[in-house]
Amino acid sequence: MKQPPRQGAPWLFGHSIRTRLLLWTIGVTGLILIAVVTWNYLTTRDQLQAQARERAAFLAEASAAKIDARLGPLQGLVHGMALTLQAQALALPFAQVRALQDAALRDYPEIYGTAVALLPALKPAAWPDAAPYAYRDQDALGYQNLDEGNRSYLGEDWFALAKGLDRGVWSEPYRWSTGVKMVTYSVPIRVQASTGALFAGVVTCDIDLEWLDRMLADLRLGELGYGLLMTHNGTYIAHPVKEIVLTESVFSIAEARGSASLRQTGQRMVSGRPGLIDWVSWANGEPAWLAWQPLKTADWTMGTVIFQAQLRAEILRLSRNEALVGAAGLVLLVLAVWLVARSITRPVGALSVAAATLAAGDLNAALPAPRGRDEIAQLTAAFGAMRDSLNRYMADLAETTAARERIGAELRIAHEIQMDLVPKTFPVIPARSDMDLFALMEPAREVGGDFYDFFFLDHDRLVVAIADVSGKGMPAALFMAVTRSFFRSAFKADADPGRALARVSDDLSEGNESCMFVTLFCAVIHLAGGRVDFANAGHNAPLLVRAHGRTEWIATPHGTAAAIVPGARYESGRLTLAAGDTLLLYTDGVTEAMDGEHRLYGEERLAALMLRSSDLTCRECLNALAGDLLAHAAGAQQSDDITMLMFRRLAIRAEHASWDEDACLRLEIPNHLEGLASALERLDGFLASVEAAPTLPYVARLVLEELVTNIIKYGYPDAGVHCIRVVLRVGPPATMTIEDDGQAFNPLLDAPTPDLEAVTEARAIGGLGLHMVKTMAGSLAYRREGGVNRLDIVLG
Amino acid sequence: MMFERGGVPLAAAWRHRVSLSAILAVVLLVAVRSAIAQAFAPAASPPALPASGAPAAVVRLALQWQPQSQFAGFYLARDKGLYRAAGLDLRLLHASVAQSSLDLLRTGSADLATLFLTDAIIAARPPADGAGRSEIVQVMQLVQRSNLMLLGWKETGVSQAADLDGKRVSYWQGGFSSAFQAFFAANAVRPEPVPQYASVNLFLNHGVAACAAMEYNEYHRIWQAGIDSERITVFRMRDYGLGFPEDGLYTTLAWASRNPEGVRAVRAATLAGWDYARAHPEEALDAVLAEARRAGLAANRPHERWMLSHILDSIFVPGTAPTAMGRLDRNTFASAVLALRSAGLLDQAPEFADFAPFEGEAP
Repeated sequence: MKQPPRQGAPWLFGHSIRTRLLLWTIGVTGLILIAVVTWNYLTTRDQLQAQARERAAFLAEASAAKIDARLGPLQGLVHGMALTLQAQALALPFAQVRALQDAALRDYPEIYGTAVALLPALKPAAWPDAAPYAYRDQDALGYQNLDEGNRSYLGEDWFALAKGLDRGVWSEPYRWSTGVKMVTYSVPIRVQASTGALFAGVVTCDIDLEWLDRMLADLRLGELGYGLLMTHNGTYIAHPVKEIVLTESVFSIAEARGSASLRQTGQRMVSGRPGLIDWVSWANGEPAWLAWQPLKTADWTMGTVIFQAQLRAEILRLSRNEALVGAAGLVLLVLAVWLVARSITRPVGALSVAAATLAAGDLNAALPAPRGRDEIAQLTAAFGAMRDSLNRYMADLAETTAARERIGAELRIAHEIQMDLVPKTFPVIPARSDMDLFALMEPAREVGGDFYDFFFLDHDRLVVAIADVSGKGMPAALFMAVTRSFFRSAFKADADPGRALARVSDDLSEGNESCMFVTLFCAVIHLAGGRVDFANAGHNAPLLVRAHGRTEWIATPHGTAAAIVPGARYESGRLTLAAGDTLLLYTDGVTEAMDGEHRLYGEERLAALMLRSSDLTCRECLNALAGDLLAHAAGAQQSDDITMLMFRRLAIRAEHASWDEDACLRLEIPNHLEGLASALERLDGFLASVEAAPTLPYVARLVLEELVTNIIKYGYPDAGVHCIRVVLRVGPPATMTIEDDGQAFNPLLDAPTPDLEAVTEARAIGGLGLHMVKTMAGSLAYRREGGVNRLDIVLG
Repeated sequence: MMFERGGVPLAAAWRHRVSLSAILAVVLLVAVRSAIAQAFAPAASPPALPASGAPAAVVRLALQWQPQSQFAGFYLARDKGLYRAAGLDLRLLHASVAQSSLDLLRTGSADLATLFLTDAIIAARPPADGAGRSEIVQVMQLVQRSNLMLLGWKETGVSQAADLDGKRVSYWQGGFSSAFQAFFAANAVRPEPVPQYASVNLFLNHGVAACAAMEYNEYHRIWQAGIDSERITVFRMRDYGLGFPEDGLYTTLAWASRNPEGVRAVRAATLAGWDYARAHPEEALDAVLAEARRAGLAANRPHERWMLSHILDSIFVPGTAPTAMGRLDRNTFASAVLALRSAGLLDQAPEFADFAPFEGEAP
């Protein structure tokens, strides 16, 4: 998964591992490579330069020695000839001199010619010539007398210098008429005279120098380098630029170029001392090294020039090869690093993608198959294990959640069922103005163990009860349902509260394997007189608030909690409620409601609130009490169910004496049989609480059941939920109105008259019930208004 | 300058005597052929032929030495057709060790020759019997001032004239020796004289403490051998009042008598050639180097440039009237004669009018 580089992260760290590995490898290795190549370049350059300089100096020296080696023997030969003549004091037969000359020419191929030139005055009388000269004439030997009368040879350098310097002298090299370079070496001959040693003449030897060029050309001075030879005057004897040989000197070139430095270099070169300098060639302007070495024979200087460019090219070639090898190595290294990096980052990348998929919730995402046993493989395996654990956990969680949801749903249903178990229609009977009653039940969980109940035994007697089952939750709720069931049936059998409780206790204790129990308070209120009979099975003492502002806790009589032991007996108590007196039944969830610091709500606070609220109706009072409890708890979780029932006896006012005329019951019945059953129950409750004709409960029940059953069964061809409205007025005369939005149906016309004589099974369904309704009802009126069937029935 | 040799061995010169003659013949042949070619090539024809329309007369002029800038004006006068324009078919000959220009003139190999004034005076001295006139007459005096000098090694202890006393000093024999001897006498020194020939190598090898030199030639040769001026002490003869005019053009009395107009024409054209060289020194150098190359001589341009510049300064002496060009001053002639006499080189001097019969005419 690609992440944008972190803000402020150094650039190099913002990339993938592979890129970073590659960049670092290339960067560091490249730097090392560059450093190595540069270092090598520098050291190699220095070494090669030093070598080149040494080579220049060495070659100059070696060449000088080589030239000396060739010139030396010839020099020796001339000296030898001079010494011979000198030793003989020129008293040599001329033929012998000539033989010596010819022998020299034969033995020394480098010698072109040799002469013995004497001052004419000192010529031995026996000699025909003063200056015999033998020379090479192609393959033969030629002869000539150099003295032809004008004595001009006396002015030649080879004669005059040897005479003037009184030593062997190398002439300036010259070009022979054939173009061949030559040099003449001459040695003075001295003869002893009375005045001392006397100059008599010279022995000379003309030497071919063509081998010099070949020798210098063979010097290994690189492609551009060259050797040169110059005289003591700086004149070039040998130089790669042929035009300047024997015509120019280093000084004439320096003059032509106006180069003082070249002149100085020339002066150093002809100074007779060897040297080695950095030099820029005048011939091509390239930097070079110039080494020179004076000869030991002739006073010439051998020079060698090695060009730095040559060396530079060599160094560059070496460095380039090195760099190429290094670069190839770098490429290999990068490839290797890339492969390694890929072997790491690919699984990591795949793992990362897989992890992202995991994180997105897809726990079935495939993980890359771990390869090998490296850290990545371990990481992959660990991821796999994690995923599997997560998978299991999620499966468990899903299961648990499903179970919990199911339980929650069931609990919600149970809650609704439990709430349906207690009457919730207030006011209980709107027509009655002699009482006010309201009740509240708030289970701590979905379902609770508390319940309250009230019902009329007849028009005058009202039963109120409150109970608290031990334990909480579903067991308590179930036990509560059972208790309520037993409680109602107990009162159908005997209206005495004590005996009813005893019966309930007995019924509950039978088969009470789970050893549950219930505290229960119940009272039978005689509305007309205000007398109250009550019994208490271990329940909290109800609070009696007198109309004049006094509170009493109805603590006695007080029995044990029901269902503990069979055969328990409960004593019935009695008290009288004046008009305006209020009775509050409650469970311990009220007085033991705790705030965040575990302080109880308390009976004093309850009593005080009740006193303060004496002007409020029961509904308002209980709502206020619930609000106060909520304020007390201040958000703390309540552990116990809170259940309250409040009854107040009201004074009957005169204008309401004929309240029966207005007594009516309004029912809204859903179009199913369960709704009908519930409606019938309410009808029963209502009819029990009103004074009516003795036959009314029976007739009203039958009419309602028959007609509504008919509507539910046939009125709605669709499967939708509809509401059937029923209004029952006690009268007199008692009337009932039924309205439904089903199919138009006039029971008076559309229903066939049943054949009463026919066999029961063969009769059309519903026909009989309707017949009975028609028979029993005083009158029936049907009309259809705006899609609604309305049936008005006078119940007689 | 007559002594520039480049070290060609005398031995070789002798051996190839026959060959030299052959070469000379070839040179002559080439010269004739080129003259013919010039005659028939309209483009090369001089703009002004002689009015007579007669074929140009062949005139042979011998120069003192082998090709160098000393003769640049002659080469240009020839190459630029100035001689031809004057109706002259002039051919330049070069002297050698074997034959001096005077030799060539005397033997009739040349009609005209360049000579140093002092040598010419000696050569022009009347016969000892006093009968007749000098054989040699001057056509014009080219080099007006002396370039003669003595150079001494400072490192040998020569820093003033007195230091020459007792030291080996080489100088040329012949006409020049008079100036040096006068110099020694004037400075009261007695050096050991050593004959000086073509080269200064004896001096360069420290064989002598001082040597003779021409400012335009040897002085620069020595510098071109790597010897800086600081190492040398220079004595210019002219600084000591001992310098005489040098190169001049001479002919025989016989030829001059036969061709007085030719003499004038040569004189005018030669001066014009030198004027041209002065105006175009690089072209003059090209001509000199080409001439040297043809003669197979070693020559380098810096040296020839130095020589040309000094020769030109000696012909066209700064501060001298243009009319003096090519002319010989009577007083100068007289002092040269005096100097030669004091040196014992001359017994009887020619008369000025005999020596320079054309002097007084407009050059």
